[in-house]
Parts: sequence; structure tokens; C-alpha cells
Amino acid sequence: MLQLNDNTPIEDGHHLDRRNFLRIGGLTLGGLSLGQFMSLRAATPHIISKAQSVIYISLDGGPCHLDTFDPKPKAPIDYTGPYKTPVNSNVDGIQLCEKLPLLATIADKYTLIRSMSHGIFGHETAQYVTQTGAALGSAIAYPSFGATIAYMKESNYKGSCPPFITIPNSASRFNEAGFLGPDYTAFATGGSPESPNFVADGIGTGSITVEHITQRKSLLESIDSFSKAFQSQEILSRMDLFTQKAWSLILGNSKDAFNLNKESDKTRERYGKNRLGQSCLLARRLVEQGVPVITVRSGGWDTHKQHFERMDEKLPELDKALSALISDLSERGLLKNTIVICGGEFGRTPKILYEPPWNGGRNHFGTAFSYLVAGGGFTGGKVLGATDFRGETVTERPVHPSELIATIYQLLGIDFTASLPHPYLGTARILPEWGKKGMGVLNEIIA
Amino acid sequence: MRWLHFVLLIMLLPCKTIKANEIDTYVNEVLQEKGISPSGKCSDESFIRRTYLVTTGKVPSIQEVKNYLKDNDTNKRSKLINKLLASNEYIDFQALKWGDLLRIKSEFPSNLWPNAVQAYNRWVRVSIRENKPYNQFVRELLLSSGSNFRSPEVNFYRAFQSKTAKNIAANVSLLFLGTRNSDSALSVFFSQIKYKPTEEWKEEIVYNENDITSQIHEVVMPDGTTIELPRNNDFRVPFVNWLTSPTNTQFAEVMVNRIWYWLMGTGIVQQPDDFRASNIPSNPKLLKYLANELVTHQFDLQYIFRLILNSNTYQRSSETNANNIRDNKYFSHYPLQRLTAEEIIDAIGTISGINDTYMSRVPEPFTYLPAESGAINIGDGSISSTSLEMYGRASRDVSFESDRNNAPSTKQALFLLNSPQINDKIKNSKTLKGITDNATDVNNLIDNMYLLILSRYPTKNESQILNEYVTNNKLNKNQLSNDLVWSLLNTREFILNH
Repeated sequence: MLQLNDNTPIEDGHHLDRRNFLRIGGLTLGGLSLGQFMSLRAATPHIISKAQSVIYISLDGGPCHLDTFDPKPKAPIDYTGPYKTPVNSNVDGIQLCEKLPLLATIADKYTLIRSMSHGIFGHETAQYVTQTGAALGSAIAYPSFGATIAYMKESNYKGSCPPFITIPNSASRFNEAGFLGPDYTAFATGGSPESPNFVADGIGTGSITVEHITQRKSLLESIDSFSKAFQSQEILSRMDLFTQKAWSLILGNSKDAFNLNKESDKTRERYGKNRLGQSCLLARRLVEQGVPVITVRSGGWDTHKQHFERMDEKLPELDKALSALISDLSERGLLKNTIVICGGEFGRTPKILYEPPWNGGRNHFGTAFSYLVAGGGFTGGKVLGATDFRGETVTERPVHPSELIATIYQLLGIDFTASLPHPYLGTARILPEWGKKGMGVLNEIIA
Repeated sequence: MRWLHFVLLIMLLPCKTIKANEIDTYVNEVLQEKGISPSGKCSDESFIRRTYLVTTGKVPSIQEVKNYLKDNDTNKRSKLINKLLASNEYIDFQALKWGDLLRIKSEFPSNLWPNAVQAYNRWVRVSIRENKPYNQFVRELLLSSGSNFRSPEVNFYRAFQSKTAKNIAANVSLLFLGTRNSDSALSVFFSQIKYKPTEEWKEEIVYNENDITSQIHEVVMPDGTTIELPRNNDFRVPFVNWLTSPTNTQFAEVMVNRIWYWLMGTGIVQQPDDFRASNIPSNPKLLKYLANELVTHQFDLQYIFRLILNSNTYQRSSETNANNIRDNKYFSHYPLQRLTAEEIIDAIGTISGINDTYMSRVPEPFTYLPAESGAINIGDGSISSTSLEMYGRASRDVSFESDRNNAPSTKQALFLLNSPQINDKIKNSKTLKGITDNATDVNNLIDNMYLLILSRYPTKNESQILNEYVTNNKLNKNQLSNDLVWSLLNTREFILNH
């Protein structure tokens, strides 16, 4: 389905609710006028967007590119470790790590970027750069692309679920919403999606029955005298609005989106009955609700020690979950509108550290790493960029995170050269690094 | 013996009580001029909760509320103010506010690293405990040199993503002159600052290196005075002398306005870090008066706290009348304000007796903070939780007061209405179970829960509704207790400072 991105805010009342205007206008230097503020979002040209939603599978800690999407069979054994024989995919010339056989059967549906690079080796700074596209060292902290998409898309999004959802927990190494503020942080489902009793924090009713909640609700309403005595004060009417929204999520049907028991056992099994698998399944359910941005956070990729033992467990889970997600979205006709991207904040040192205390681990590596991208207008069956035969340097088409983010924005119909309202500076550019030499949209991998 | 009492009273008076409060004179003058009628005095119940919150960020315990309400001393409000300003919790809360302003944070973007964060926090806390004169506090911060571990205040110069003279000058202007548009001429004062870095995590030396080649010899300051740059000396010295001078009224005005904002919710200049010619104070005489009081009382910040807290203006009710409801500028009534992130989370911790726990991811292995310390005492912007972020805790990415976001949201409503965090705390709380088990009857249980959560006794009407609720639903004490605690936590009265 092609969707015209509507950006005619004046007629569209909820484009700018009063709360946001007050919050942003009130904090701005001199205060933006209503008209100025309107024009910020109006500045986006009419771009035909292919994609409606983004699922970001964030492999926190940084997976090794050699052991996932960029195998190096010609490298010495102290680079490959036990993973010496990559698996051929269903696309000629594309190979994956031998631990990803299921993904190898659907390589026509996704593209691999093997030349990601930012040169940063610390988790928190690398996460900041991969998720904001901004460089380190600026005077302000930028929002992650999830928060930016939530901000840019919220006016077109009519669903009842929050526009930006993270499964199960939020990023902890930097402030995801940056200067956009806590309204644009992700709603975290919390809990354990792999548990049979999983409910989303705040939305699912868990061990308390709906009858009991309704009974409590009536008690609350009868004793909350404060609302009556002070009702004309603005903060109370705003709080009432949010409380009503919350009740409609708790008591209405949208919580079904978070109910994995609505899926057949076969489907649940297909994704893998572990945290990552069930998180990906939940992400697909949320895409069906039209949620614009969903982050699946998978931890445990920071393998300084016992790297291969850990990868023997994690890679089959990733293989199953990610291949099931892409295939399932495709079978349901959702893949063409849904971007799936998967990767970490950096790669890991191609040369294995056998010396103590690592004893066969890999450290942080920001010089070269890989991302998988699929759907929403990304082409399938391609590889972009390359590293040398040991995976230590990018030899072809280096890709900065800013370029990947710009491409995602373009597919979503977001003008990445536009500005965001900045609470103190008036405005700030969506992608501050854009325009630097050599940067461009990844046209090579747009269908 | 009467004369002895008299002498003692004279000795105590000047330091602990404030006679006539000129604040009210200036505020009332403007209200009269604008034709706005002020609200009346707030109740003792509102006063104790409000004053605990603004001075310590905490809600009072059942016993503290009971004792306070029982006290017949006509001076009991001043007594409470003095007690709270002398408490450790006041130090904790002020350290949090300064930690936000100084962006004390281990990781991105300040990148102070944990050891320096701890040293810096200690220095800030000691300064608050000693009630260090504000001019001296700023002097020590701005003239600091040396190791980030051994001279903790040099971390002021390290907490920047980009340590350029321009950025430093902009931050100094924002914090101490309340201006967002920094005068670019001020950069030169910080141009001699140099860093001797080692590695991440390790000691870093900040030092001054005299630049004898500097082409700039004098700087015209924002107030028109000219400062000559010393040859062969630290450029910061003449700047700090100018900044902290008693004649630099803006320096004192910014700080008293900040305290006013902390206590009253709105600055006399609003935002408190947006001083400029086109953003005039809502009550210029009041601002001048407070600034002058700060200067004449040797930059004693606690004196300003005490002055404001003892005023009728601070002690007004948050209930509005038809005439003052639109006023959010001239202090005709106390504004309703959502509790801050740390206040909410710690209040829930205190009420349930179950605090959230916090963990630092650096250095590895992870460090866990003691459970009893609570969110106000985290001390490091890099240590956080989903709920603190959701309630708009300061990110410590910037030094603006508005970095802390107290706007309500749907996510916050879901959290209080229906999250496992809240439901589990209510269910598993030994504190709440103790109150329930020890309750002599239903009304005693209701009384104690109101005192615990809302810092007041229930009204007759509320008791009656609850008694009916128990009868109609055939509830036992534990069931009532759970439903009541949940309901009270979800009242507007709980979530707002009023």
C-alpha cells in the first residue's frame, strides 16, 4: 500500500496538541509562535513513503560481524575460530555464518550491509552514534531515530498503542529521546515475552481480574475529591485526558496486541520459545496495529569471554527468530511496508583473543561491522560494501550510521534534511551530520 | 528567671526567625496593581507535605504528620522549616539539584567516569552541608585546577562533550548569569584551560597555561565594565572577580530566582535560565529585594530559603478563587505541580517500604547501589531506571532547569494504575501489612493510610465512602488495605505538590 504522507497540519487539529505546543513553545528561546511551530512539520515535502513501520532488532553489546553476516572463510583460524565453513544462501554468492542456516534460505528477502563503520569502541558512545546518526562532541544530545520517527509520525498514526514501543526494556546507555524529551521515549513492555503469563506492564491486567480493577476504579473516582475542588486548573484536565487514555488501553481491546497467547502454538514455536523469538513475534503483532517504531532489544552480545560458547547458544535463536519474522511478515503481505533492521552498536575484534583473561573472546570493534536490512522498500538479495579477507577494514562503500538512518527516514517519507523543534535552540537538524563529504542515501539497496 | 528566657530568645531570634517578611509586601503590591486577589493560607496538612517536598523531595512519615498536626505552637511552621533545612535529606535534595545543573554523569555526554562522579558529588555535598557562601562556591568551581580525583571541583571543566572555551563560557553564562545567549567575548577567559588526559576512567589533570601570545588585552563585559586580561596570569581570575562581585546584581538575581523557582514552581524570571532584556521579571522589586538580601547576608543560600519559606506568599493555598485562577505569574496562589520523577519513585518506596534498586553499568562488574538509598541519592546521571526516565528525570545532557520534565503522560498513568511494579509493591509490602495488621478497626486503618500517602486524615465523607465500600464488597482488612492504597496512590492529591 502506498501512503501519502500528510503534512498539512493546520487543518489537522491533533497534529499539534496544546500540551506539546505549550511545552515546546514555553521552553524555546523567545518562544516559537504557533505558526513557526506548525511550519516545522509542514516543512516536510510530500514524499511517497513505502514503509509504515520499523522493527529494529538491537543486538546490544555488539555481535561479531565474522560470526553473523560477514563470514571470512579465508581468514586464519585465529580469526574464524570454529566457524570455518560458511553456509551458502539461496542467493548466489551470498554466504552467512554456518550458525545461521535458516536465514540462508531467505537471503532474497533481505540485504546485508557489510561496511558499517563509525570508529567508536565504547558501548554508550557507539550506541549513541548508531542510533542518532549524530557525531560525538556536539553541544547537545540528539534523539534516537526511534524517538524521531515517533515524533514525525505521531500525527498520522491513529492506533491506540503507543507510537514507539520497546520490547522488553529501554536502552540504558544513553537518553533515547534526546532533546525531544520523555514524551518520545519508548513505551517499554517490561516483563518476559517468553513467559506463558507475559503481559505488557501497565496494559495487561496480569494477576488482577478486570472486575477487580473496575471495582477499584469506581472507588478511586468516588474518593478523588481533589479533581473536583481544583478542576479548573489546567494540569488536572491534562492529567484526566491521559488517565482516560490509559483506562481505554487497560480496559479496551488494544491490549490484545500484546497477548501472545492469541498466537497458535505452531507460530510461537516457529519464532522460537525464547526471549528474542517471542519478542519478534510481539513486534509483528504490533506492526499489525500500525505501531510506527518497535525496538526489540536482545542482550548478551558483549562476549569478551567464552565468545564461541555463547554464540553457539545465541546464534540459533537469532537465526530462528529473525528468519521467522521476515518470512511471516512476507507471507502476511506486511514486509513491503515494514522495515526490519538488525545489528549492534559495533562489531567485535576479528582476531580472537586467546590470552588471559579473555581466553577466546572478542573485544569491541567500531571499525567494521554488519547490518541486515529488509522490507519497507529495501531491496532483497544484495550485499552492500565489503571488508578485507579478515574483516578488519572496510574495503568498499563505507556506510556511516547516519546514512542508514537517512535511508530509513526516506523510506518512511520523513524529510531528513528538515529540523526538529529544539527546546532551547529553536530548531536542530534531524541529521546534523548530513551533508558531510561522501554521505549519501543508500540508493544501491532501495528497491 | 524571666530575664533569662528573654536573653535566650534575643540570642536565638536573629538567626532562626524572620520578623516582617518583605516578600509579601512586594508580592501584594503587584497583586493589588493587577487587581488579583490572593488565595488564603494553606492548611497545616498542605504545609507539612509541601515543605517536606520542596526542601527534601520526600513525603513526611505518619508520625511526623501526626506530631505536627498536634503541635499547638503558633510558631510551628517556622520550627518545621528550620528542622528541614538542617536535615540530611535537605543536603541530599540540594545535591540532586546541583548534580543536574553541573551534569554529573559517568557516561555520555559528560563522560566524567565513576571515580570522578563520586569525588565531585562529595565536594558538592560538603559545600551544601557547610552552607558554603554562594560566591565562594562559584569561585571554587570556576578557579579550579588539578586532578579530577583530588580537586573534585575541576570536574566542572571536564563535564563537556566538547571542551572548547566557547562551550565552557556558554555553560558558565547559563548557570551563573542565567543567559542562554552567551556573549562570545567571554570565551577568552577560558581559553587558557588545558587538559592532560591519560586514558578513559583514569586521572585527568585540568590546568591553566598562560597564553602570552594572546592578542586580546581587554574584554567589555555584558554590564559595560571593561576587564583587562592579566599578562602571565590566569584569565579566569578577573572574570570570577567580576562575576561574583556584590555589585554584579545579575549574579545574585539568578541564584535567588532559581531558589524561588525551586520553592514556588515558577520563577520571578521564568524560565530561571532565561534572563534577557525582553523577558522581564514578573515582580522586579521582589527580585531586587531578594538579590540584595543574598548579598547583604554574605551569599547565605539557606537564609534565602528560610526567607521565602516563611513568607505568606509561599504559604498560600493552591485553591484558587474566580479572580486569581488565570494567574500563573504573580504568585496569588500556590501552583499545583506534578511531583518530580525522584519524588514519585521515592514516595512509593517510602510508602511501601520497598525501594527500587539501581545499578551502575560502569565499571564492570556492575555496581549495585544500596536499596535504602532511593532515587534522590543516585548521584550519577548514568544510573537510571525506566520509571525515572518515564517521569522525566533530568537527563543531565544539558544544564537547563527545564531538562527535568514534569509533564504528565499516558505512560505515567498506566504505571500507577496498572503496572506490576506498583501492584507487586502493594501486595508484598511489609510496611503496609504492618499498618493493616496493627489497625484496631477499619477507621484506624483508613486514617493511617491517608496519613501515610496523603499526609492528612480522611474527611468524614471519605471515611464513610470507604466504610460502605468495605460493607458492599464484603472485604476483609487486607483486601481493603490493597484497594485503598492503590486508590490513594492514584489520586491527584498524591501525584501533585499542592
